[in-house]
Amino acid sequence: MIEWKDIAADWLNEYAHMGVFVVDPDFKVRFWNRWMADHTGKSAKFVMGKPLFSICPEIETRKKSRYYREALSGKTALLAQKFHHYLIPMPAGCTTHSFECMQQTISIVPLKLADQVVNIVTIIEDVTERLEQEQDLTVSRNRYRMLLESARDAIVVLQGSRILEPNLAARSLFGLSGDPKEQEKDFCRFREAIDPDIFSRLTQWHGEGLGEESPPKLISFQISDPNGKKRWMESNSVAMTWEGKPAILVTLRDITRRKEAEMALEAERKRLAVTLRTIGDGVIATDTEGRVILINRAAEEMTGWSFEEALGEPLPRVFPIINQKTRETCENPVEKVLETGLVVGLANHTVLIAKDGTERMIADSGSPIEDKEGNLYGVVLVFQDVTEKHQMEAEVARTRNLESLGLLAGGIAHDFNNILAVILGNVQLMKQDLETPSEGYECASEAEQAVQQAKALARQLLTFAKGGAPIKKIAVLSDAIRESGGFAVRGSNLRCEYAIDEALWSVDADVEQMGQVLGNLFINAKQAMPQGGCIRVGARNETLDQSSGIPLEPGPFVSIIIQDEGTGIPEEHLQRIFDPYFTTKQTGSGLGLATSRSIIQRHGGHISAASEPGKGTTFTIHLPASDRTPVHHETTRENLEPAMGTGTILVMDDDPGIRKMASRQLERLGYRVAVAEDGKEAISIYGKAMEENQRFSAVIMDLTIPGGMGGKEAVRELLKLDPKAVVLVSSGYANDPMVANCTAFGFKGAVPKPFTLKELGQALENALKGKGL
Amino acid sequence: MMALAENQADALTEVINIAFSRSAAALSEITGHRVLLEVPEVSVHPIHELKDCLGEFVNEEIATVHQIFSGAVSGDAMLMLNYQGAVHLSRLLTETGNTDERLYESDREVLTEVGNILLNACLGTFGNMLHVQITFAVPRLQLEDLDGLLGSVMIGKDEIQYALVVYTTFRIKISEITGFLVIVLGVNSLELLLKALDTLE
Repeated sequence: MIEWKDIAADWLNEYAHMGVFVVDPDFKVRFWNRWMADHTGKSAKFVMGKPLFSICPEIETRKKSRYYREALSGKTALLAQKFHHYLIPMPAGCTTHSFECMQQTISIVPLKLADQVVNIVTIIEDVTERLEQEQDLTVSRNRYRMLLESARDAIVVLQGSRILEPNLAARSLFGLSGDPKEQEKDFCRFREAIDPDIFSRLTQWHGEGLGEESPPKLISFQISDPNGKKRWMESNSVAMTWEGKPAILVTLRDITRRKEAEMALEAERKRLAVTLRTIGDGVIATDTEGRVILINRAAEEMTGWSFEEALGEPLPRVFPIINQKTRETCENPVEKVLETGLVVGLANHTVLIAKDGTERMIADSGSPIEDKEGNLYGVVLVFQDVTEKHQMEAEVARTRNLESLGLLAGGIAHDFNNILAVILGNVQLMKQDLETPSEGYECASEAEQAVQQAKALARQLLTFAKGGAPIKKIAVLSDAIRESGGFAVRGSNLRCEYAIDEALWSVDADVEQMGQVLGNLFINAKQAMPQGGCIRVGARNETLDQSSGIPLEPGPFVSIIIQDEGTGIPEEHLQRIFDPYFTTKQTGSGLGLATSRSIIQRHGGHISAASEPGKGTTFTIHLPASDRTPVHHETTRENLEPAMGTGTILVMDDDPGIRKMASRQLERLGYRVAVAEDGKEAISIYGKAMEENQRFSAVIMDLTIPGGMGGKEAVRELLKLDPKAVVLVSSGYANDPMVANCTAFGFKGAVPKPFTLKELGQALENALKGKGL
Repeated sequence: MMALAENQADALTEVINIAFSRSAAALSEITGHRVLLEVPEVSVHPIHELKDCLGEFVNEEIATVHQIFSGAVSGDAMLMLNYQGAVHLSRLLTETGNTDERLYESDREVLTEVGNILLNACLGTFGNMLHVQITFAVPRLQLEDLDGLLGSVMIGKDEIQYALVVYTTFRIKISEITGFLVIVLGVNSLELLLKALDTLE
């Protein structure tokens, strides 16, 4: 035993990692181990036998000596570092930075022998390093708490049926108390807020991943917050060990705003997709590599590429474009936009070639797609099919050309008609003075015929170009049809076969214009049969009803059919033959059928064409039938002598040639003549004659007097002067509505220039007899 | 429950109050805060009935400062606090500002010193009252549940044991921490103590 005590004492002295010293009941030092000597700098030899409080006066000054006095009564003292810090000041080890001196935990234990305290043992433990570690741990735990508390995500640790350490976000989101005593209640609140299936998934994950490095798994779901409001959450759970026991760390992020934004974005995306699909313009979007990422329905139709086919394809493959004129490939607009970052438009005459080879003229622009920071992440192309627009523009340009041409032609025709009037009148007068048969008479006749042709040409030009109103008369067209047919086949290897109703209804028509129409159709037939053949000509009465398929109001019509045996018209041309300037003939003007349709339409009728290549073409005209009986002036007068008359006629015309020629013609017809240069003079002369009781039988007025009073104004003035005045209008604008509807303006008749002697005589006779036109 | 006579209970309460007021004075001096200790209730139970009167402590991990004492009167003196109460008491007394919910080694030392003061005061008072010398072992802090604790107290003891249970409340600043002071005595020691109480009158 003695040996063991010695060994123990020796161990305490030499090796113990703590301070041990012993004092007797007088508090004199009896034992002082090496640790004490090392840390106090006082050797055992030095302190032995000396009073403790004299060696370490701080024990007394810091009132720790009472523990020694209490020890004498058998009490044990344990002095916690937190309260006392140290018993004997000693330097802190070099490992510490927080404490100036060594921090100690002290035990003061009395040793008794037969109920008497014989010694008091003091044990000093250096806890400086441990304290530092605790402090560090506290700091790091405080930081961890702070981070946890300040996290915007809700974070909880689930362990069994308890929630440990819910952070602030979790407490407010789920209405948790966070009180350690309410961990189970908090768990219930948490579980109730989450759909059972979702909760099960979270905990199942825990079961599978327990103790392992389980990868976080994101789950999105809705919860009800303490106010009953639905919130979108995104959560993951991780298996972990919490204070030695399995637990799950659940992190929940409130993604309500993001979800709402996503839903709004999705709705917007759908709206945009619907919009894009429904708009008429083609839209193609590409990424920065120029690969298609979006193509709308219009673009699908124009390119022939479906969305699925086009996705990811390079743009030039889906959207091949060439220059219409050079047929060269156009620059890829996406590359241009990516290069410049600017909006670019396509050059004019750009043609898109669809997958099936169809070509469309397009107008297009490419714009960069940029994010908020201005970074380019794609290009959007918007394009339209402008083929029709282009054609329409061309049509408008052509129409404008026609209008200009019409104005010009109208002007020329007017002057031309005046000139023709002088030539025709004089040639006819000359013919009357020549003997028949004689060479001079033949020459005059040929000149007269040429003038008549020139007159017809001027008329046609005016009809088309000026859109002249027809000068309608009640007529049966049988003879006019035969005359036109006969004229067309004269001298050719063609013949006409007629099938014309004997009791053909009359029509209210401008016979001359009808002659133009028929002439055009016969010329067409003639040109379709260069090898000769038969033209079948029909005319019959027809009553159209609703089911006729002809765009005309139901009623009685006269239909005229002209059918050839020619080469026929191809289907693609048939639709366009009535278009102005459409012609397949080398020498054609392209105006014939256009003029014909224009005339028929102005008569309230309809013209159509049907054709079978190789078998021939049939033109059909429908004209509204009239219930009036025609007056056969035209047909009867041809063989009659000019209608003679008496009385004085006042001729008003600015052209002296016309005045002179008209005077001669009128004198030949038996009239006396007076002339005036313009309306003002005519009224003056007329007024003067009235004053002298010498009335004019009739007045012939030119419609247009440059720089002077024309026929329109003069007739009004003259009728004021003499309401019974007989005034005829004469104009080079033979198609002028004022000539066609002359009675509406106060005239009693019209003599369109150029006129023949017979026409003048007939017009005067009709007017003077009150027949009118 | 072994019923104390009314006078015995009153005397015991008074004795313990004296010991507690000394302890409170000592704690106040050490910590620099005013510490109050209250003794609302004192009772004696056979040790196997101890669990019933410790109520909510039964199912929790408890922090116990355990001090064995010997001499003419011998037994186990214990200051029992639930874990959170122990943490809270340590925080209040040391004012570290630490919000951590765990007991560090430093906290354990603090609780041990507090327990030592309290238990020494009580046992010292009993010693004085009985005119006997009581020897105290070095106190230690145990963290375990009640069953484990009682097992360690009862092991190797053949004598019938009783537990003197003092419901204890610490008041520091505005906070209140409750626990139990339990002194387990053999029947002979208890007899001595009760006799001594009777003589106090």
